[in-house]
Amino acid sequence: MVPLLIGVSIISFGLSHLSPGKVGDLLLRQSGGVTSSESAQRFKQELGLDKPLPVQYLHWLCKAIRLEFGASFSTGASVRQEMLKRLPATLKLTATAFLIMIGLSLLVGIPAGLRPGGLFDHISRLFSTTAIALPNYWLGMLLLYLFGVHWKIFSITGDASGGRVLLPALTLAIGMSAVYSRLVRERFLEVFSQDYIRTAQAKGLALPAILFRHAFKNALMPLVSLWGMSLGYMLGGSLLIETIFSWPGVASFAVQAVLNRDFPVTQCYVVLMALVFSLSNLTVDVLQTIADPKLRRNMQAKKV
Amino acid sequence: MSWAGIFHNTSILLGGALIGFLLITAVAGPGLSPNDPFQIDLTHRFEPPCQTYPFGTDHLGRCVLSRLLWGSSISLGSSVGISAAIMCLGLGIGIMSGMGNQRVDFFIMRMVDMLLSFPSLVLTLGIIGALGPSLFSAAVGICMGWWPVYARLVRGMVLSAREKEFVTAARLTGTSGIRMTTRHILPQVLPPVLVLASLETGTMILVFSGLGFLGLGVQPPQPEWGAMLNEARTYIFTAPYLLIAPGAAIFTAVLGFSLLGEGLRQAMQVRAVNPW
Repeated sequence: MVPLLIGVSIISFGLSHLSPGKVGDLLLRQSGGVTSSESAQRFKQELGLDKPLPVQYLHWLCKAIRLEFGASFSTGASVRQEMLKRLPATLKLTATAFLIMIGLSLLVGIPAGLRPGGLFDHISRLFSTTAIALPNYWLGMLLLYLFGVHWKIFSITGDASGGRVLLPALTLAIGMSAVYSRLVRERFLEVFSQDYIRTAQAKGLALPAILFRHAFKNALMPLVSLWGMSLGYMLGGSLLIETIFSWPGVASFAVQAVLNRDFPVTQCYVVLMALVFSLSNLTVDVLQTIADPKLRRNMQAKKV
Repeated sequence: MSWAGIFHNTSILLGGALIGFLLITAVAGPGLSPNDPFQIDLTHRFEPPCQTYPFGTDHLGRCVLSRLLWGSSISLGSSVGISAAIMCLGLGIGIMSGMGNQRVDFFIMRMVDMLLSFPSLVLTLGIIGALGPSLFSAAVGICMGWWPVYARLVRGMVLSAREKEFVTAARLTGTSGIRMTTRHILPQVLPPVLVLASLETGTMILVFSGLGFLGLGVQPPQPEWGAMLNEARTYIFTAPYLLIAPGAAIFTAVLGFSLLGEGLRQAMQVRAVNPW
């Protein structure tokens, strides 16, 4: 985890040296300074841009740990404050989308897996084929038009409060639940062909009891490892969805920053998202080890 | 898997037909388009579909159908190109990792781990932020965001391909490393990778047009599908019908590639990868 974070920080730092116009020059031009070589030199000294790269990196890292990326080029406000103010909205959107995704994929996947080849299986296949190919930004705008403009149920502009999260979260969730419902279906198909399920059926257990007591955990455990991945997809997808629904989160802020060449904001966003992503991957790993005795045994076996 | 089998698979047929149709529009688009896609005519703004403008006109009075047809070569061409570049990168680096010595393998895999600690699209955004929004930086950004997944996948395939008995036999007879790679490993790895490339192209269309939609990819006045959606977004109150055509075009293209890829995948029994 720690070497990984160091690597992540090096990549984030390297991004600032990719830009064709050096950051210092860009900053100078935007602050309206005279671009004589003398003033440029002085400016670079102030920012520490004349030092060798490793020194610059360490300097940058010390600040990056505290998420200090200086002031935004366009607004002049502290990037850190602005980002932390907006982060809860993005986390709320992502978390809601995540819950919707799991709910929807279970709802579509389980009945399809119980009766393969049945009517519902075909409907669920149609759903997933369509939803995978549907651009979520298009779907988002169509929903925005229907609910926001046509029926006027959804307020187009506004803050991150209350039920306003549902529409963007649903849009963000649909693509992923299409993939997920297929996996859920396959898992339930597999589990229901196992002997212990047949035993439970032979005992005369009702379907809900079989589902929840016997099948659920075994079927879904392997899918938990994909949670981290799908979270990464949602964090990326929030770039589009937040922009469409004018959701006041970090992603829409970052998109604006890229358009304005506001470098500190972009960099802070990239580092922040890598942090959130790594932490959630770690959490998923820990959760899985706690919940799955098989995995725990494997790990102990490896240690010996 | 026989050729006859491919022709009996509806998913492959349908996907192939959709892609074939779109490829024709991409190649012949400029010839087929009824009007000049760049011609601004403010007297004909927001016109509904009619004889001269089959899909109507946009906020600058440009013909939507013509822009759609011209856009298909930009959107499809770029996405297919990006997908091919990712495959080549993933294939090259993955084979290097799988065939190289332990140190090379370790170095490449840690590099992959680092890049994978960013959500792909976030890394893409970071790179576009550094290079400035344009078609080129969008392409570079997407390649950097997605190749690590494929390098890791190819490495796994190479490692299992090396376990085959005929590969061991070849090694025992003193086959050189390069000959081993090209004659024994590559033929095993290439078919599944190509199948996945077809599936991947659909995702690339979504991502590339998504960036165009955010204004981070293809820049106006180029008629890219995502960029057209972005322009239509401003007029969601006055001319919501402008949303329909570009979105439907993206949807059709992605559907085509995912049907073809999924069909081929099942027919050739390649293990699925997660598409994100």
